Amino acid sequence: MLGIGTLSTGNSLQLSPESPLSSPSCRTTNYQRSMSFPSRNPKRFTVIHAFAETIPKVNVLNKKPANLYEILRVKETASPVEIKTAYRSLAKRIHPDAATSESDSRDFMEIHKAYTTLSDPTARARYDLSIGAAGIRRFGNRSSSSSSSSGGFVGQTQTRRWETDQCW
Amino acid sequence: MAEQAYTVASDSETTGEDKPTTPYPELAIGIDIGTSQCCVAVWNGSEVELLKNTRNQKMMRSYVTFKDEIPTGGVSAHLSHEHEMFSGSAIFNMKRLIGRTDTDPVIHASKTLPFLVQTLNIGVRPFIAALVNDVWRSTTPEEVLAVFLVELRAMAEVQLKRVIRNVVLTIPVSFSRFQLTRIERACAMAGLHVLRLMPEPTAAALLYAQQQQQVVHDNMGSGSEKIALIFNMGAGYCDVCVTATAGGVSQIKALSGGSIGGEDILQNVMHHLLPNLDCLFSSHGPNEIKLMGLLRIATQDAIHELSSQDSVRVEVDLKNGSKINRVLGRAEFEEINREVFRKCENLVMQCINDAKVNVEDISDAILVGGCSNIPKVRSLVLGSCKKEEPYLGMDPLEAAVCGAALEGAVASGISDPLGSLDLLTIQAIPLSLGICADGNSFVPIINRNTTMPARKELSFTTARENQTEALIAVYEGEGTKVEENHLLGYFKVIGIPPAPKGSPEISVCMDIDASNVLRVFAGVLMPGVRQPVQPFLEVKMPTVDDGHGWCAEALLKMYGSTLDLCTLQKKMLQ
Repeated sequence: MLGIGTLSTGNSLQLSPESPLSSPSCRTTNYQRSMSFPSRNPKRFTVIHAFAETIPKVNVLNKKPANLYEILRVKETASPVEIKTAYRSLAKRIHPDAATSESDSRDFMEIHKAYTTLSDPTARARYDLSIGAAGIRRFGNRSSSSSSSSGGFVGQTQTRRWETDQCW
Repeated sequence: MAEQAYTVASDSETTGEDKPTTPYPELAIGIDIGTSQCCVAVWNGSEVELLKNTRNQKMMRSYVTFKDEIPTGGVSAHLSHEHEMFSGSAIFNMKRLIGRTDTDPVIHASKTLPFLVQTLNIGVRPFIAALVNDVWRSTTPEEVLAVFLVELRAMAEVQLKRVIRNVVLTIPVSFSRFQLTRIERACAMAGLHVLRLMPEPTAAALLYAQQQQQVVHDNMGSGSEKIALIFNMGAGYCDVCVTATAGGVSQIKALSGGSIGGEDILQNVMHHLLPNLDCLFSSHGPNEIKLMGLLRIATQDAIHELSSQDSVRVEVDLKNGSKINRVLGRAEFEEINREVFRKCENLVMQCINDAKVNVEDISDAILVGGCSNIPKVRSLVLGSCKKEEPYLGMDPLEAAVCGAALEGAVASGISDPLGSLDLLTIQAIPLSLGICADGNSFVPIINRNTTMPARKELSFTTARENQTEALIAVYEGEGTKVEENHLLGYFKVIGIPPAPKGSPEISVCMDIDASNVLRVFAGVLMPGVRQPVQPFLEVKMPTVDDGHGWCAEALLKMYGSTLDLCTLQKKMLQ
């Protein structure tokens, strides 16, 4: 939908920290959840992850309620160069090795994951399609495709995904 | 992987002694311990400075001489003649020997070294000894390295007039995590805390990132991304990395490496000059060792000369009746070492492929390390990168240590008002990590060249009906079968409720933090139950000590397939 071919490449980096989904409270909760592997409820996490190999893109979307563009703090129309620049400048602040960093490795991993998707033209196009669609339709599509490939496992995950997404 | 017991002790000491400087973090120094040479560098506040020893040398030979009671290293010791290094009392090539078992081909190739390397070929540590007063006195590579590091540390402390605790060390790409623990052990023995272990080419990559950053500053340009291939070949190892650099950030796209280096070239030429070398020197007596030393020096000199001329005359009087007196041509030299050069080329090609870059997009081919002077090595690397000329901006012998010093400053939290330390390395893991499942298959959880820090999770299930325990055996490497990889450790997940095979879910998560510490988490989940059956296990790897090949055999003998795991994904796809 948002084909990268239509985007300009000469623009300078534009940060959009004012976007509603990247508000501090939202992000913090998200990190806390993914930080504590042994103590948090692992069922939800692992079941979702079991699909990683079959439908990775939808997966990223469901696991990360925040939009990948918001994670990288770029506009959805950002050019590949802007995405790269944003990733690097964020890495310099967020990476555990960086001098000014006050965050742990989870934050960087999140940024790196977003960058991996958005820097690959095919993956980005697929991701753009998935967020372009309305919420209800997108989940309907996904569950029908995954239930055809696997058994009763999906029933539980589907409901749980709904819960997860309703939080956001 | 850091040895915490030692870390705690050194931390408390540091805070005690460094009271005046406590507002500032302790600046870590960079050390590049090469198989043959070594150097130390530090960020002096405005640039990287190489430290010199009392004889004004920046490059010091990596060896330790055992004489009487006190061993002395190559940092301060003055050899009356180079032959003294080959008298049996000096141990060197520690980096080739460390963390290897006596079935390792690298250990077997080290038997021609002029000291004692004895093997039993059963998968245990080799026996290494130095000749002291006509007695073979045993030592270990860790001990030799520690003695050497103590000297380096003393040298740095005198010059920098402060206590040195934190270091960034460069390491070969192909080192297993077990070998890294041996390096850390040696550092701990020398009272040093390892802040980072940096693969050698990534250290050169950081120096490159800084240089590119400066170019951008000078031109006030936009600083677009540059892709560079770094080829680093020293005496012991050949390493390659592809990095994407912009704005002072060096992102490692791919790494490859192998234990081939100048030492292999030297061995090949020695065997070529003296075909019955192994037979002549098999007894390893003091006289044989001296002759081996003579041959080694002559061969080394010849190889060096072949870098600048087409042929060289080699003359060695082996005293026991045989004499070598012949001309060695460059074509002949290249033919003898064809296999070494082929392996180098493969590493370069593999790295370019893994990095998923087009050869045309490589801006610079950077050649560093002692072997980068060999014409054949230069031509094969430049040919693979389709470049006419190599990058000339850095000293091939000092690039790695300069990068390590930069990393030491960055990781210590030092900042530079002029922005010269506005740098970051985003590392990648050089070897895949996974567990044993589906019989004896190696199932990777984190693939090689994954960006660090990383955290990946995979689900497994039981292989037998009512299986109550499962073995998590963690391996590192690229082989499809576990036997081809390094065993890092193992632990048991217990208390699986009796259930049909394939229904309990055993979740395994691997976490690598920015300082490359690997933790493995595992636990059991039952369908329809939200809480894990038992508390999850968290295990820091590696846990195996010496003789790790034996552990896998012992486990198999004791438990057979009763504790086996299967991957869950495969089942779902069926």
